[in-house]
Amino acid sequence: MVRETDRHPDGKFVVCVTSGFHIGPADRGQDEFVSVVNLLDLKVVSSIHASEVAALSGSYRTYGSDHVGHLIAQVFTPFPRHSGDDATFGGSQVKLTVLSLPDLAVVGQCQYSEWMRSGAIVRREGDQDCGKMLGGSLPDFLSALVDTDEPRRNGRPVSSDGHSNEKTVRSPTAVFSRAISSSPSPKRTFFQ
Amino acid sequence: MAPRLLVMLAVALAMAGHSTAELKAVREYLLRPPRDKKILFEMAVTPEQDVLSFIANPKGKWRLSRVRRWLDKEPEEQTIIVPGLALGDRKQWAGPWSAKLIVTPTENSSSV
Repeated sequence: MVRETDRHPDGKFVVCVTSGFHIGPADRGQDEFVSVVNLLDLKVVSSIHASEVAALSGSYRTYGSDHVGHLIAQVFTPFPRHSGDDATFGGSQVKLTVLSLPDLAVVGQCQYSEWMRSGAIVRREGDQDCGKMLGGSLPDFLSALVDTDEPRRNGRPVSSDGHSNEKTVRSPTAVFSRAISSSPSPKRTFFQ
Repeated sequence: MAPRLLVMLAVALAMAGHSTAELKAVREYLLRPPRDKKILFEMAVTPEQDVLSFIANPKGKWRLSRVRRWLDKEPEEQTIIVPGLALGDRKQWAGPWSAKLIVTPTENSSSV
């Protein structure tokens, strides 16, 4: 079980995550760096290339912090799809990985299966082990995660009214795309 | 918010009755140069009310800036380099990058 005593007693950190989807021939999938910065002296304490960490291997990951200061990674590997499948329905194997801060060491891991329809979770199976590891209900634990992500749809930033609004600017070295959101906290993106 | 400047705005929420609210800008702060035009960034606020700004860099040297006492006349700005994705061959990327800051809770807070 992951205990509250595992937490760093003076935990004041910020976790910096940068993600993108790689389509290289050898390393297709979500590529990602996760770094921990100590806010007391503003120094990088640890950093991992998440896509190269075995415990975080999967198609894509999301991150949050639990109430005692662990970093929680949900690693998703979608089940194979077949032609004719309902496009609004699909499932994934999910590895829930608990990492300690600030060292980003894996201190716990469990797995479950999850099915979603139109973006909403409709079924979970096999989450008993996660309940034992967490010492409580998995849904309650996940709903309490600290997560600063804004609403997203199909991997694109979505404004508060649900519309994506992007402009592309060309520079000599790269093509950048800036997403403009009408929400109070706009999120920028840049493309290949 | 000006599109070419990274602007931090402090806002005061003035409640006017039960059903309406007014937002007023009370402070504007520009991060020190270099100014990264039209680039991905993410912001967060720490429990001490410091402002964090995390700015992408095509070479993988992302900037994390912290601005303390940003309501004062002379805020304190600190910047460090944080390892992040590097653009490399842009043909190897599909879709936008994303950035995220997660400030961990303190002893006295259950969430930020």
